[in-house]
Amino acid sequence: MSEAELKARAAAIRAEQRAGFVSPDIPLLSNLSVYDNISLVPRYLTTEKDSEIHAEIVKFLDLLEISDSINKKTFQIDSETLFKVKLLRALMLKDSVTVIDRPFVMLNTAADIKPVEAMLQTLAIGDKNVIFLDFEWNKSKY
Amino acid sequence: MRDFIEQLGSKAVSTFKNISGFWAFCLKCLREFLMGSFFNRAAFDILVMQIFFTAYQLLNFFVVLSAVFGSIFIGIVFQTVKSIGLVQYLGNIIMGVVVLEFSPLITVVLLALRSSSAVNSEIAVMKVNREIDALESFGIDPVIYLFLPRIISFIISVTILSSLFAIIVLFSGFIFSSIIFEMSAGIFSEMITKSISVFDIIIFYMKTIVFGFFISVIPLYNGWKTQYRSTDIPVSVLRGMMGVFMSIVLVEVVSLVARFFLNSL
Repeated sequence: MSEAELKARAAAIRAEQRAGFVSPDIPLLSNLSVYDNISLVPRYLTTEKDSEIHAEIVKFLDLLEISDSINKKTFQIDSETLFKVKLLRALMLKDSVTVIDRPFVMLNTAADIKPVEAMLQTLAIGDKNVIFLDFEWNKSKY
Repeated sequence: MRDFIEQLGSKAVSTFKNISGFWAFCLKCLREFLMGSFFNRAAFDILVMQIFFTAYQLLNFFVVLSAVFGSIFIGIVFQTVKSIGLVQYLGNIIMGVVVLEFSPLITVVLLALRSSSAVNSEIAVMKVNREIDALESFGIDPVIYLFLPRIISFIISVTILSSLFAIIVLFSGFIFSSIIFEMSAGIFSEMITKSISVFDIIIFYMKTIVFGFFISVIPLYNGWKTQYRSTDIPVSVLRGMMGVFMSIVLVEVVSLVARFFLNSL
């Protein structure tokens, strides 16, 4: 798919159903810390208790081994951590699909999709909840 | 000739769209305010932080500025009043000119210079970096999360800081009146209370609310309307600050006219 087609597909998914996006076009908020970026979605959209949200985020950060970045701003973290934070933010959108849009644009050092699959397994996310969108020429990486 | 008419028409349409867009934005903000959307905990955090940045961080500097600038100004006013023999109007001059006009004006100019420009550039940068799009893609309304808390914090900040300025200027007035006119505290306070009407207080607070609204909503709107180009950020700030300046002048003129009519009733 071309970049324009990918963007149109992403927009269509967004319009069709509630989706948490992990995309190079959907950045983190640069004036918020890693924790605030992830907690923003449940704090804004749900009535879940702050303590429960905090516990869940700390658990996820621990699982992905980025708990040392909890108070860092986005410019202080590397591209892999940035991807993980975007993934966690997307997962905070409950009862929705997670769309991972052009993962190799964000994880430019990854040779294939295995690191992303490992992250999803670590977080115990079933494949059926995750949609990958990517260029045709990256097919061999999946 | 045809080109000229086309250009004129195009300019008129774009100006109309811009103005109608701005008022639609104001109405959306007002609707969310009336619905109490700022009680959302994420938005409320922003509200508290913004009051901290806009009012609290400025407090020390503001108190010093009010004391120094207010004292000098009131000293000059007192000397002038004494030299032209208008001592009987001293209370009206202090309240009418120094407290009701000067205090909100100085406060709003200071806040516009310090915070409106910062808010305009912050929102413009967020727009260019697609951070506002990111919020929307997660179902977070930027009006509720970004704009409304800033508008409310500006209104609260202008109101509180203007009142503080007025109190400091009145205290300076008391000190100067005791030095220049050898006036006691009792006579000074009686003179002040006699010179102020309920209308004056209502207009003072209405003015601070309207000032706070416009010096926040104009930069927010201009920041939000920034195109997805970094070169558009300075243009957006320039437009925003010009709009803020124009609104300050306009609100000041309208409040003066309103005071004139209400006092002549």
